[in-house]
Amino acid sequence: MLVLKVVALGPIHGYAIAQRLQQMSSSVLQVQQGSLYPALHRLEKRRWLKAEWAATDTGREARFYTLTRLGRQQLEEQRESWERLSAAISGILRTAE
Amino acid sequence: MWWPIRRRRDPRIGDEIRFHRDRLVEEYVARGMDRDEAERRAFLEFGNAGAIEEAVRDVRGRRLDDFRTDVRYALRTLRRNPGFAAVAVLTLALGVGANAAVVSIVYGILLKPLPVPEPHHLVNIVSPGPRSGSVDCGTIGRCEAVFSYPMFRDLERVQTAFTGIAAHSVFDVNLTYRGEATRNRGLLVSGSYFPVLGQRPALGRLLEPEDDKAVGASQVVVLGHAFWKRRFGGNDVVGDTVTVNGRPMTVVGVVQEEFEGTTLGLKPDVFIPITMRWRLANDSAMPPPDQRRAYWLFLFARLKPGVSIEQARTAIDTPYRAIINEIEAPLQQGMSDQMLAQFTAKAIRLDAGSRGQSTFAVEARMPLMLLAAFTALVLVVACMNVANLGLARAASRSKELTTRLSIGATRGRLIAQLMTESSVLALITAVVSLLVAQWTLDLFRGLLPDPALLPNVEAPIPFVAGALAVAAGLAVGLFPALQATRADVLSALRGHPVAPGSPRLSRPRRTLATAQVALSMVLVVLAGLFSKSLANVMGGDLGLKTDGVVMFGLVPTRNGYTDPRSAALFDRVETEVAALPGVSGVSSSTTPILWRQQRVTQGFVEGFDAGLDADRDTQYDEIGSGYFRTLGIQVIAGREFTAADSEGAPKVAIVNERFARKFGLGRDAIGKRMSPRTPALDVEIVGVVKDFKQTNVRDAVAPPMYFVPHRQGTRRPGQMVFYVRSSPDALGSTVAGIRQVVRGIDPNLPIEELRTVDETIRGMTTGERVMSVMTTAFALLALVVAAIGLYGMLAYMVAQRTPEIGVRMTLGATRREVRWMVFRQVAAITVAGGAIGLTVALLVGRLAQRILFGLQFHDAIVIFSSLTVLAGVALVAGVVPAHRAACVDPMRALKFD
Repeated sequence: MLVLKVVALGPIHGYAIAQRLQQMSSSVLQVQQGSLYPALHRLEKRRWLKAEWAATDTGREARFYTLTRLGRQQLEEQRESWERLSAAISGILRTAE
Repeated sequence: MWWPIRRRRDPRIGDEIRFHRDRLVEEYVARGMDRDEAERRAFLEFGNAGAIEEAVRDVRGRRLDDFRTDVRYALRTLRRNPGFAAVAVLTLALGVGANAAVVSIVYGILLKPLPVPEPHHLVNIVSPGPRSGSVDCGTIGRCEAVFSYPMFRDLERVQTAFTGIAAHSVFDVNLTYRGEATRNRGLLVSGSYFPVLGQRPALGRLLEPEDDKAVGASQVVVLGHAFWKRRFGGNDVVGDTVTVNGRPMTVVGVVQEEFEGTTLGLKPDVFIPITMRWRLANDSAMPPPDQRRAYWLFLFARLKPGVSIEQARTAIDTPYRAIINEIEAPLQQGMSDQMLAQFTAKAIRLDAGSRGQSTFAVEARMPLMLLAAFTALVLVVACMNVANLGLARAASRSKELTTRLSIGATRGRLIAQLMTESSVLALITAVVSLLVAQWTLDLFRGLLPDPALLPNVEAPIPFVAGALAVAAGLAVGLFPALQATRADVLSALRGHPVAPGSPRLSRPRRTLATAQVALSMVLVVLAGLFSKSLANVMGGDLGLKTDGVVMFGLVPTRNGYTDPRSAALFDRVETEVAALPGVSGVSSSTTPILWRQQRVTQGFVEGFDAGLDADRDTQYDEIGSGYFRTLGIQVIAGREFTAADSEGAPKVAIVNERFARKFGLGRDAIGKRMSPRTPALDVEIVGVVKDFKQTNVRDAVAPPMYFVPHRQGTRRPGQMVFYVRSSPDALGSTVAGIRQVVRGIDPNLPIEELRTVDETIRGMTTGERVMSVMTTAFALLALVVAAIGLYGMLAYMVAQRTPEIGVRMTLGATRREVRWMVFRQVAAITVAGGAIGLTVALLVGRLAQRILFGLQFHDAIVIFSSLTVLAGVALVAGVVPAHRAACVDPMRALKFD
């Protein structure tokens, strides 16, 4: 979901996604950056992402990912279900206090 | 074309990952690290690029990718080891090709239904039991299957269970079209024939029920498709007139191309309405249409939808028995009561008729099934051989395989890759095997007296070959793949991939080699049996000198000749052929020799009185002057016929030795009197000839036989067979000369069966020839393949045991002992394989006894020579490995490890 969220911001390549994830999560989430790629390709295979090669600002070719319509829907659904879940959890936590 | 597409599809995962890592490195460099340190950090942060790439590939689904790599890898390994690839492909292709051809032949002859709609609704009508009167059968089916014409019409009238009953009978004709006369295969068919089959015309119309309403009513013919193409150039000849047996007939149509009649090996050129028989036969002796005691028609019918064979049988049997009992039984004269009881008890039987009616298919069934089994064994031997090779290769690659296992390849992955190699082999095999199949088919066709006997069987070959090749390739690949990938990773890393000569790989190899030897033994013994059978058939003393003798027939009655005109024609042909250069003798007879034709009558001989019930049966023939000299038959006593033994002269006869013995003539036969059929005793015996095989090369003994001059026969014959002796190298010009002579006398008279007597004999022994040649060829093949397998196994064994041999030799084993060690292995395999093979061969041979001529299935000479051949081949296979073992240098062998 996080990946989808990052990609939703526009065409972006793997390195930038990794950077963005680190920034956004304020380095709370520490994973090997390489393990991003199997995930990206899995999402691509599910047709939530699409990818194409394009030149970066440095002129080198990189693979840019964009969110598909299906991906956007997924993102919405997942965010809703996550919000429901977290609302439920915080609700439980609150009543338990 | 696929190249750019593939490029676009390639996700370039490596590039993507490298890009990321490089950016990381750049970033660290930018932060002021030196390059090495930056790369180290990047590696830590990113992880193992290779492993990640693999993981991504896993996610993307790797089947196709892997497959492509595997295929490329397989091609590369095969190229690197062309010897293995070549031997494997050739061995398998020989087995697969031969099988594809034989399976197609078996299908074409034994299984393929007629090309008609719903062939399984067809039934053949037969009625076993006595038939007295004239019976004409054999070409299409058994004699129990022929019916009389009136019976056919009766059955047609009373039947309720069929959509119709069809009748047919072979009827060869002289056909003239645009001035060219030929002898052609005709089929008399009822008007219901084509409707019952559900045939449609390719051109014009087919015969219809209207065409057989009355004798001679419908003077029309339908042409066979191949004949139409051949003789009429495939032109629209509907409405054209052809002359059939001297009578003009109109062509009304042509049958479909795939329809070749309802009898295998008997492609009709023309289909003629059955009622034209009595107009076209030109035979005054032919029984009239209403003769109930002339049996000559074969019947088949189509079941009405929803009617079972048993229901139909009951429905037709009841009226049939009524006709037999009420109408036909009173007509049977001179039948004993016992015979009459059998006659009236005759019942109808319905046989499945989807494949038409054919004696050829019935006779060919057993030999063909044997041949199919035989060929299958060849394939099994070939598979075993390649499996064996595969094991050897797997063993030599076990280091590679175990290494790959140890660094994380799954077993399934390795097996998949090994199987890809097998599949690539299988595909190449399939292609090569098509060639082999064609050769096998050509070999088979070449053995047939008439290639047309074999229907068109090419169609299924590619499918059979493909299926067999894939099945064989996978079967052959799977076993070694399973064995090899069960590797022990630990021992592999210790440098012993699979313990050398470990039982896991060597035991199956020994078993395979033994099995191969056993199967080859089976094939060799059977081939021996069939070859000896052929030799017996061919080698038997015929009592004839056949080399340089050409025979041919003339049937002028078919063209409407009267008997005196025929006689004049025969005399003229004989005189003119005798005058041809190179011809040293001409004679004639009314019964062709070695043609399975015989004429039997009762003989009465002076002084022979063995009572009323004595067996007086004797064969006879009417012959011309110089018959025995021309055919090289020895005259033991007296003389042979000359031109002086003509119509007005005293009646004379010549008898064979067996006749003389049977009728008690003893040594002084000459001058005694005899007579056929009645005890008139008005014929003088003027000669005795040595027994010879007149009817069939398979006759164990010549039958008693007498000969009379055809000029003195009760009736002058309307057909004649001529025998022409010339020097063997002048045969070609003699044949051409004969054609010219006959054409010069009457261009409308076709020559029948112009060929050498030797060719006639060959035609008669087709069955033996096919079995002998095919099995010998296949057995040799299997033997070579097995020898290669044995050699391969031994060579591998020696290579694996080289260190051990070195130790033995250091400890004092002599070279002889080492050599003996190898041969002991050979002997063990050969004895075990030979014994098993011999047992199986005898079991199979027992089944084949029926088609063996003049020997028992346990023929000692065949068994002994097969064993010798096998032992010889095994020795040859063992020589080189044994020598190599004996030449092992102990020092080098020990240092080797």
